[in-house]
Amino acid sequence: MKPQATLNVTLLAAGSAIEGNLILDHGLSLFGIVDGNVITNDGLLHIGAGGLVKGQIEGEHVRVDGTVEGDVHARGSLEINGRVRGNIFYCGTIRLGERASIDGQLKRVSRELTIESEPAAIAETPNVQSLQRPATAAA
Amino acid sequence: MQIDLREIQALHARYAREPVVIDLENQIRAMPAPLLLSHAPTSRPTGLRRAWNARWQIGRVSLTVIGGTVVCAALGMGAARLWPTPHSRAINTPPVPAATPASPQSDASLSAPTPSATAQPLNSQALETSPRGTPGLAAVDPSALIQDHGSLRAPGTAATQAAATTEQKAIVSPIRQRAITGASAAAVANVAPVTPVATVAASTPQAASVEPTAHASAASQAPASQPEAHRPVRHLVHLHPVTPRDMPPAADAQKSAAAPAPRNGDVQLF
Repeated sequence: MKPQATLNVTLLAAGSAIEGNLILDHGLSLFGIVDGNVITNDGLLHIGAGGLVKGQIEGEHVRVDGTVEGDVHARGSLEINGRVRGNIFYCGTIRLGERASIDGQLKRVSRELTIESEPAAIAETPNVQSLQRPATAAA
Repeated sequence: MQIDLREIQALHARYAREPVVIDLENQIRAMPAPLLLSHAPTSRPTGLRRAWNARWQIGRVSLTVIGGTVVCAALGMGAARLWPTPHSRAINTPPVPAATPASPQSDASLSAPTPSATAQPLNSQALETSPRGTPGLAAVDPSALIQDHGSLRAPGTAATQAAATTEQKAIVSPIRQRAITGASAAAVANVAPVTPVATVAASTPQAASVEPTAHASAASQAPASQPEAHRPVRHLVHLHPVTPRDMPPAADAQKSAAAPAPRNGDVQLF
């Protein structure tokens, strides 16, 4: 069985908008607007320039060139060269670009806790909203 | 804003995970296969193995034979142990030879008492007084007593039987018989026929302690009913068996028989 060399990437081009959660098992390049949470289990979660996510994003590798209005969870590497209005949880490496703007807290956590948020810390910081994952998103 | 697809593809390629390839065939081929899992045909048995198999077969047969022998031996020993039990009565019963007409005195003494068919066993009626006024025990045949005693003693242990046999042999030994015969002859020559028996009965304290009158009567009756001369003496001894510890040897019997009358204060043993 030969390894598949194909690379699955979802491209959400500019001019598109999605209202709701978006869950993927491969990479995503987002140049549009998503009003919800975006979760990718594998690959790169790329919020391109001009892209906007109004919710929490979570992925193995996260690169933010656009705007995220919510928490950012990165299990692997995190590279920010855009604007984030929320807390940042990472357990790998983090890189901040020259155009990075962070309105929140940076926390390095263990890999197992990258998804779970900390209610105590959130309560102490009024500018961070707690994650309210709807039941439909889990389904 | 233009999106360069090549650039995006290159960007995603950077974070793409290396695929994990599991090539089982190559992995298995690379591993050293154990001999047990090898598909090579089994090697033919070597000479050593063949010899061992042959010897094992021989040994197995030998073990079977030895085992059978052991089992048979065990069964035989068990049967030999259990065999005398049903025949113990026959073995313990003293041999009853036929009455020899004319034989030496020792032979006559050795012959076991032959219970005659007319001998009546001792019962309560024998103790009653006969209408003619004679004691009832006078009609009792001593041979019947001996027979009863023997029948009771028959199921006894072998040790008791052996003691009785030794006792008989000691009593009927020629030396003792000669002494008794001499004493009896002397007594018969001096006094009435009852005297020897009474003397013998008096000489044996144990015999005298058990109903001396009855014994005297029985002894007095014995010579009349039994023609044998030495029969009463032997019967008295048999009626009161003694243990082998108390059994006097033949020499002592001879000595006691030949000893003079006991003096005052002395206890005559025999």
